[in-house]
Amino acid sequence: MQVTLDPTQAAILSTLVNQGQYPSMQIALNAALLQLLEDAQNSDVLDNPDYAAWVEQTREQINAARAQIARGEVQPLETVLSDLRAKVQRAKDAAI
Amino acid sequence: MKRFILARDACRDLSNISDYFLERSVEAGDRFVEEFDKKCQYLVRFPYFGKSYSHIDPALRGLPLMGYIIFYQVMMMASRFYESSVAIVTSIKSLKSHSEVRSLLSTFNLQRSPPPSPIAINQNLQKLAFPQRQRNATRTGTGVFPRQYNKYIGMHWR
Repeated sequence: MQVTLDPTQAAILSTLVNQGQYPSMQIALNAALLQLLEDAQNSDVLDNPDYAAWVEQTREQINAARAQIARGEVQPLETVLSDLRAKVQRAKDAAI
Repeated sequence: MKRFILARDACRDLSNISDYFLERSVEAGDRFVEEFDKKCQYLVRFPYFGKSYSHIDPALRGLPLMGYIIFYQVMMMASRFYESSVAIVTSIKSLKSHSEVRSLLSTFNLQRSPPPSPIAINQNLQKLAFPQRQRNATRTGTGVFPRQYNKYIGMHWR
């Protein structure tokens, strides 16, 4: 199977190689794939009894939020970021 | 063109979390907001950047952010203005180490073609990690990728 990298993907790999973090783009790509596998297999926590409760709580919150999206109870990212930055700025001003 | 929206609960969560960090230090609050912005910019360019949480919900993906997980989903919009949307669904305090959980198969389900079997994935990745071993045509027959492969990434394999 042949996979073609787009210019952005190639630039990312090239940057890592130029920084000296990997000896070649091929090796950098291999490391990325192995990292994906490592993450995927890191499932020891499934045995944790707290985990099932956390999953159930998360699922409920996801469903509630999706219902909000369906009802149009949403905000664009720009508005949310602007509000958050304004709050940080107020905290900075108050700290002076 | 992509559209980026946040559910009402996600806005509330982000506000509460930023308050939490700001109460501890202005720098921490500032860092939380800027890190959140950075991850959102990644998502605008690479919507599937986050890990799949398909074991919780098939469309759910998540990004870790300072001890929390930003849950989101990519939505295809039937609109002539937007080709797709990234919706931040909610932000949840991660149970430590639970944020790293995800399903192997879901990673490969993103491909258009049918996903390869887990065994096939393991065999392909073993070729990546153990090129010399493949030459000897040695088969462990376990179908399980050895967890100790990390040490081979540093080119120390024999």
